[in-house]
Amino acid sequence: MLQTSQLSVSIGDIRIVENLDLQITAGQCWGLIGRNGAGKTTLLNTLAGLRKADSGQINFRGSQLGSIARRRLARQLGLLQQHTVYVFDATVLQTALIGRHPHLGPWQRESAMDIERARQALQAVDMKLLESRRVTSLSGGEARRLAFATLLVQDPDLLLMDEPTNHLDMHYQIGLMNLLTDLVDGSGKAALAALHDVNLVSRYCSHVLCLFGAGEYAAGPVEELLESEMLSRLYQHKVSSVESGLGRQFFPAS
Amino acid sequence: MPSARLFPVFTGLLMLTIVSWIIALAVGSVAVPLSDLFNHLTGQSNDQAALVLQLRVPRAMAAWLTGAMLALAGCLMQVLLRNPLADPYILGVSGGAACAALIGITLGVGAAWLPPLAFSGAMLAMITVFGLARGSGAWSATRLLLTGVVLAAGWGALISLILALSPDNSLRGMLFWLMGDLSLASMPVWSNGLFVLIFAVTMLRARSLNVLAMGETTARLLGEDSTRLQWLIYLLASLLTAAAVAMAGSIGFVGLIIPHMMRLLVGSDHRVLLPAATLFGGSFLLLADTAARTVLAPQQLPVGVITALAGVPLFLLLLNRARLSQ
Repeated sequence: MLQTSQLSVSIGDIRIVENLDLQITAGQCWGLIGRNGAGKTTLLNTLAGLRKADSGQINFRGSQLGSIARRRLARQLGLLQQHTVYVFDATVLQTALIGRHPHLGPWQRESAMDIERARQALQAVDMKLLESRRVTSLSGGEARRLAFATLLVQDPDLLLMDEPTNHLDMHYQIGLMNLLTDLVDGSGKAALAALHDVNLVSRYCSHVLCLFGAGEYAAGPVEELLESEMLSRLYQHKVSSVESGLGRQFFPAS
Repeated sequence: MPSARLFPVFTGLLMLTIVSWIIALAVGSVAVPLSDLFNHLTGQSNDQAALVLQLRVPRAMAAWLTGAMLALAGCLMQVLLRNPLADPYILGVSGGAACAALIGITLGVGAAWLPPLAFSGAMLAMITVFGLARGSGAWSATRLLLTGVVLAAGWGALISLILALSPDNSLRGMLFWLMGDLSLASMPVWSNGLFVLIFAVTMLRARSLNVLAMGETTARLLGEDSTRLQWLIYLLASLLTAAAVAMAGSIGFVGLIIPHMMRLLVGSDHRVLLPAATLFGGSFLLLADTAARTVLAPQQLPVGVITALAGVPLFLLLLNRARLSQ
């Protein structure tokens, strides 16, 4: 679905990736990990077509990313941003419905089906009962779940996500990752999510992209890449692991 | 907002529009009875009523249109800058118009020349901001805001300078212009056309405005060409403001408060907000202007004073009620 070849991205003097060859295909769920400031957000923004790469190619479904009209792209590729700031008050349902924007012509109003879709997405993130609440009154976790619901309503085939589990408690973190993997397994979609919880990556992702800084990266299946030694190098902090009923769990040494 | 509540709100706004027109045409130094007003509309009127209405209709039209334009421009500016405190004057469009108009008054040009002069000043201000904010080609709303606000401050200084250097006998006219005054206003046809055109374009893009209100990056991710949309909004809002200011001077408050009031009443979906603000802005300024020319008659007050005096308590009341109902 998304392919990069020899992609180099930098911000200022900081090199984020150099000559990245990445292939994301339908049914894959990628975790994106790296230290603070390693460039996860910048890379996601580049893959979403929001900023230019230094060199190299990004192809989405066989066409060059930059050559696809924004509206068409928005129907197939979505990005959950790290922060959502609501300046003007709207209801939760209205905000979720914004996700239909690229699917509607300028004259069109949201249909009953669009509203139904938005309600289902709110239901999926357990916000059905809050649909007439004002967005400015939501808690951090609720706002995060609403942003994810809006992405579900947008219904892209490739879901890029910048720390989707931020502000979420354990229950909703697991809920969100379950939703995501169901989506990816079931309907030919793919996802790439920047995550800070390595254990979520090991439990839910099929693949992982690691940014080591200075342009160095590693990409591949989780079971091949994700082990204590690599993580210790990635985070520059000793990481140990234990086997548990849920698979291998990683934890930082003190 | 649920569409079930939209119907009564818009019925109310339409009624308000009609009532404000009737009051504006009927009330004044010579009262026109409702029966004469009605007869005039159906084409059979007595001469006196016809004469009075010949004077009042253009002024009422100018007042309504100015209010509608300012309210619409206010909505647009608030989305563009993603700042609920933005008003149509914040980027200096009115400052440019005021400078041009005051220079005109100083030079003693005829009253008929003031609107085109003010409009040119507004356009100059708009183009200056556009050119400077564009600069390196990269767009950001913050850059536009800073450029505009700084230039507006510059215009303000120029206005003070002109006022300080002007002879006493032209100061009164200048102050009235600055406070906003409709006593000499009449709307030229092109400005009606401009308003209708801009209203239509913004209504067509109303859902895009909702998306842009969530931030320019979000708008791009949802398929909008944010930069183009932002320039379009800036252009349209500036044109509306320029046309309104050229006609009536810088009437304050309408462009800031009416969009807010309507947000509290109908929510922030621009497909509903824009027509609501336009209707209410027009009626509000029409009533304010009627008050301006009748309350202390024969003395005429600058309408800008009335809009602030009436608008402040009205807004606080609505704000308070909105808080209670939450």
